Amino acid sequence: MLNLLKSDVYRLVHGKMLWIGAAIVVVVALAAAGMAWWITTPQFADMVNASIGQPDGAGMTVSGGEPPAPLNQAVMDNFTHTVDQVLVGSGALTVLVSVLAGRVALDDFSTRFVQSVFTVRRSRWDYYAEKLLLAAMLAAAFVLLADAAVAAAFALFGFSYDVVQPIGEIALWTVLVWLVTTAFTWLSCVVAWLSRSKGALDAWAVLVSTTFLGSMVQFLCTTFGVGVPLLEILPNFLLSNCVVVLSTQGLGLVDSCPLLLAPDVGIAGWVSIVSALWLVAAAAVTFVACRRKDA
Amino acid sequence: MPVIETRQLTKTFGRIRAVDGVSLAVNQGDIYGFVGKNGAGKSTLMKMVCGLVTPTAGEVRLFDCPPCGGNPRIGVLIEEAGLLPNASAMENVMAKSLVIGLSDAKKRCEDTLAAVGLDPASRLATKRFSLGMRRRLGIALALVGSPDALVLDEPFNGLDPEGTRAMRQLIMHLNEASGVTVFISSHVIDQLDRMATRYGVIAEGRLTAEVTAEDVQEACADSLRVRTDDLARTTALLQDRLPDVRMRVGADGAIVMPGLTDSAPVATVLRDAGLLVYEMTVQRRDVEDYFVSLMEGGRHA
Repeated sequence: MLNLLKSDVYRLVHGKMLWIGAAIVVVVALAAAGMAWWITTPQFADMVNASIGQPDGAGMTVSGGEPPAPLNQAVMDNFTHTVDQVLVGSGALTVLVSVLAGRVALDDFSTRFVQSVFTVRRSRWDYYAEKLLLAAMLAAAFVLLADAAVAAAFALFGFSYDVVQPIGEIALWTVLVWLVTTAFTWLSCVVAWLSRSKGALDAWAVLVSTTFLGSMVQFLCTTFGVGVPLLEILPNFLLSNCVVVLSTQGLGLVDSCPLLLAPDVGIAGWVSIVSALWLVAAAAVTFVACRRKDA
Repeated sequence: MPVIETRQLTKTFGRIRAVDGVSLAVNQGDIYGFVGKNGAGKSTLMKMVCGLVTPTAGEVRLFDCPPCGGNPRIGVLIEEAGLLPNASAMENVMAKSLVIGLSDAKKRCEDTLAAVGLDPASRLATKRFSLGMRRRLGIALALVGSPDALVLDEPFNGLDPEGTRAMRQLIMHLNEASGVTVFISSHVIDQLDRMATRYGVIAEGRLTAEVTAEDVQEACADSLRVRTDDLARTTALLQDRLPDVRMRVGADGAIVMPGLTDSAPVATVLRDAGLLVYEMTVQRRDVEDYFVSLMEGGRHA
């Protein structure tokens, strides 16, 4: 399996997809930090004042022809919330890693390179296990890159944080984001293997990995599922719900949370349980159905 | 020892039996030509041999063992070569060499590419390769790890005459110089005829014949064909006067003498006996016709 992993890493490093994905993360982080910085500038305050029809020197601005005072300060709530707002909560990170891992999974079959693999490594267990491991590694790499890119970009633009979180809390949040992202990527790999179609994979990424479909299901369940026990609890088990929970709660991950189906396990516990369920489901489909499909 | 062996190998897709109980053996040093019409089951059988398709029934044995774990001793080129389109030739072979876990992979990959006439230093993406270059790279991928046997499915498809010749020479060189056993399917019978040592013929999923190169040579050799007004007397006379000449009687009552192209001794015997000769022709049987007849079920039709 190590040899398969080495080969895949070689292909990724020598290919473009990995670097394009990494560049997107960095550009998004820089763009977000730049926009956040822009709204802290006097020019932005001036523009807002002008747009709401107030004369220069009124409202938040300083009279006498001096530059207006900024509307916002260069201070973010906390680090995890910032990363979440930039890349996680929007589904940008999950869709990016899902597409990347899915394409890696699909490429072996669409290019027929799998011929070269299955001839010399006949164990499909090894093959699929390695691909799932690679997807998890990609998710880890991109989650860490997201953390690093956001930290660097916001530092570059002179931002500080209102609450300085302990490193353990940041690490725990990062692990939880990794778990959820990995679950999304594994599901994408399963879709790629079962469909062997780039179109199906992209559609899946757009509908599911962006959390769009999950949000729709959640909306329908809460709107029409009142009184139906299964529909009432279903949204709790959606990965999109995990993304929402992680978005709204940057702090207190291990504290009891009344919003959850099992409040005592806390956000960390619940996200871990739901992610694990989806990971096990994806692995089961991989080893039962995908493994038996002919190359 | 058979390098590749199938025992009652069967594959069904729904109700269709693509391969139906095929048992064949490719021996060490063979160039085994695998012949059949489109859809006869060649590719499916080869994919089962290579582990790309799971058999419905039967068994594949490689080097006298069941194929388990992996077998870098087999190199494969099935249909279109499985190339990474955005990678260079070197990156393609390196990716495979890492799968195998070769030591000194870079050097060996460079050697492999050089052996098939591709430049290891080229950065050109394989999606920009000509068909001939893709085929060569496909062979290079099959050769990574110095396999003892090659499974090649239609390696001549789409190649121009020069490319076809180069591919044939490369395969023969590998067989002769390195002792690589080759299991090759092709529609280009003419090319197979120049290199195969044994043949298997498959039709509708069944192996209808296995013949050697000598069998083909004999069946397709020049022969004298004679038809007279008295078959029995002619046969007796020729057996008596020309005892060294092999002969058989065709379905249309003609006497066929394989290997005999000089009609003079036969004509003399028949004239002296006063027999009326309806036909006396030298004919060469086309190799393609021979294989078509084998595909249709006749072992020595």
